[in-house]
Order: sequence, then C-alpha cells, then structure tokens
Amino acid sequence: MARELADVLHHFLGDPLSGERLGPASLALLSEPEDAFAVAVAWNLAHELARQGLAVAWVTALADEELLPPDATPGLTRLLAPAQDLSGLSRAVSEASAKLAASPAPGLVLVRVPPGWIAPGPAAGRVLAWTLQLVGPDLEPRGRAISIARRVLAACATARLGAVVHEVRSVREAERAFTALARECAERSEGRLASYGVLLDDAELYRSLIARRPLALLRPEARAARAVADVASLLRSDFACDVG
Amino acid sequence: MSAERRLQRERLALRGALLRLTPPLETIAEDVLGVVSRIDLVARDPDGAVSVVLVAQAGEDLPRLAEGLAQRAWLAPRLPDWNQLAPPLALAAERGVRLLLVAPRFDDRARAAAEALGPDQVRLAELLPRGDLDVELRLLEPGPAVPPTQPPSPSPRRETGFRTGLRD
Repeated sequence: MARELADVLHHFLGDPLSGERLGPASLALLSEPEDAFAVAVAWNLAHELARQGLAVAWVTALADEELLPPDATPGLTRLLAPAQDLSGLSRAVSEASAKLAASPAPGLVLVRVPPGWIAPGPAAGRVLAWTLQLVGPDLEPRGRAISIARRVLAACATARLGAVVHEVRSVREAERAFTALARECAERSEGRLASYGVLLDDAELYRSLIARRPLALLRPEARAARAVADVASLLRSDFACDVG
Repeated sequence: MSAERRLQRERLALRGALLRLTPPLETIAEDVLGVVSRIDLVARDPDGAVSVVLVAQAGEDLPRLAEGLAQRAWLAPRLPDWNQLAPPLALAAERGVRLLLVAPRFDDRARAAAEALGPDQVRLAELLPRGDLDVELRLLEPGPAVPPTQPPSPSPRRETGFRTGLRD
C-alpha cells in the first residue's frame, strides 16, 4: 500500500522528541531589568519553545514582565516570583521545575536574570548553569558581554555561555560579530561561547510587545519571526542533546 | 476533526513549511509512484531545480535516505518528459534532482552520508511541530562528516562557531 504523508506526520506532531523523557532544565537570559528588548525576546522565545513542543515555565520576577498576557500559547506557564536576588530566583526556578516535572513534555524553565544579581553561591549553580546573552555587533556591547561572562563563570565555574547576536541587518553581519565575540572571549579565557543564532529586525519584537501578541502569531511571515523560531530551535536542539 | 480533514491539514502544513524555506520550495506533485514505492512530494525552487521530498519517522532516516537516492535516480531522466507535459513548470532538468529528507531527528550516519554526497545532492531538514497542526522545517547546514570510528560528537553548546538556520 502506498505510504501516505499523513501516516508519518501525525506520529510526531505534538511529540517532537519521540517520547523521550527529559528532566526540567533552566535557561537564564542575562539582561538589565529595564531592557524592554530582552523582555520581548524572553516572551517570544518562551512562546516559540512551547510551540516547538517543550513544556516551558517562564519565571518572571521583574515588574514589566507581569504586564504581558500569560495564556497565548498552550504549554507555556508563568510563575510570578517576587524575587529580589539570585537566591529568590533560584527558589522560583526550583518551584517551576517541580511543576514541569509532572508534564509529559520535556520541560525548560526560562528566567531573566539581571547581571547585577550575579553572585557566587548555591543559587548560582542552579540558575546560571545555562546562560544566554543578547549581544550587539559593536565593540562596546561585545566587551560588556565578556564582562558579564566573566562574572557568570566566577559565580558558577561550570556555566555554559551562549549568545544571540542582534542589532544587525544580515546573517553575514551577525556571523562576523559572533566570530569576533567568540575570539575575544577565548582570548580573555572567559570560556567557550555557544552561538544561538541571530535576531533580525528588532523593531518587530518591540511591536509584538506593544501588541501583546507573540510575533509567531502577530506576524508569522516576518523575518524576525523566523529568526526567533531559529533561535528557539537551536536552544531546543542543545537542550535535547544535553539532557536526553 | 475527521481523518480526511486532518490529512489535508498535515499536507498543507508541510507544503507551507517548504514554502517558508530559503529559497522556497513549491510543491508540484504529491504521492508520486516512483521506483517501487511512492514519493511524498516533488517540489521546485524559483530557479526550477527539482527536489524529491521524503518524510521519515524518527529512526527511519537512514533507510529513507537510501530510498530517496533511488527516487532521485528514478525521477531525473523523467524531468524532460514532465517539461513537455507541463512547460510552465520550467523544470531545470539539467541540474538533476536533489533529495530533501525530512525527519524529526537524524542519525549520525545519515548526516555523514548527506555530507559525503554534498548539499547539491542531499539536504536534511528537521521537522519541528508548531502548535497542533503546523510544522516548521530547519535545514541542517553542511558540516564535517562524522567518521564511523569517531566517538559521539560533543554537545553542540561547546561549539564556538556561529550557528543559524537563516540565510541572507
């Protein structure tokens, strides 16, 4: 009998990791509290990761994030945590992980961490094990990113460092910027940096924030939406490799 | 939702995902009887280059890769006939046929085989669900083939190279 496309498609729709049971992990997006772009990225990434089949808990400790609508995407849950420091965030991350453990889908806790909260201690090992920075292409933001990476590693020596390039107009420009950043990071012995792609057309992400709708729903055809999906795919891929 | 309706939606989802690739792939035929078995989709890019699109379940990518190579060989000599039957398609028969293998994940051996054949012959794309009935394709970029004796590759997080599925 002929093989129908539908015979194979439905087997993995809604089952992206083929039934593997992965333990909840956490990803810390390092950004200043007033960084609206980071809020937009965290929010859109959380939605995109949920759309790609993960059970995502978004721990929001910062007031501006509490304004965003919580229920636009199935699989995404919010945990409002009045944390004031890394220890408070760590408790919230643990609580979110416990909630995700009951989910049949692999779980990921996404949390935004102000760099000023980075400090050595047990909480650092829980919250900063996997970090992500949004980095512009110029020398100054690259230097700032390296400085933050240094502080992360001082607080958690085994932390994984990741970066997403933004404020660029093309993939080629992003590649140049990341290559320079990775080289500078290695030269200053700040550990190895993993690439998590590029965000394009930052303004679209701001618009999604203003519209209070994830970009994947607001403008799915936009280049920015594809870029967010690509970043989420890279994160999801590494998450599956490490935990699976 | 009826089974028929769901089938239509799933096919539409994959066709839509092909159109969102760079360059986009437009489906020109579905469920084509090729050599022994059927080809899920046949698609063309804006320059007329033709791809055989096969979907593999998890764990079936390696045999489907072999099947896809056979279907490529079957389809390539038929393209001039297709052009005569449907001149508006303007298929670039001289460029041969590429295999696009779609799967939720790929075995290292399938990746190594695709690398050895080169992106002009075979491309691999991960199938990512988007919501209930939508899907997205992520093309795997060419990289060094994994020799059979090499230990498992390290975690991608340890890579230092720039990664993205996007293109300018």
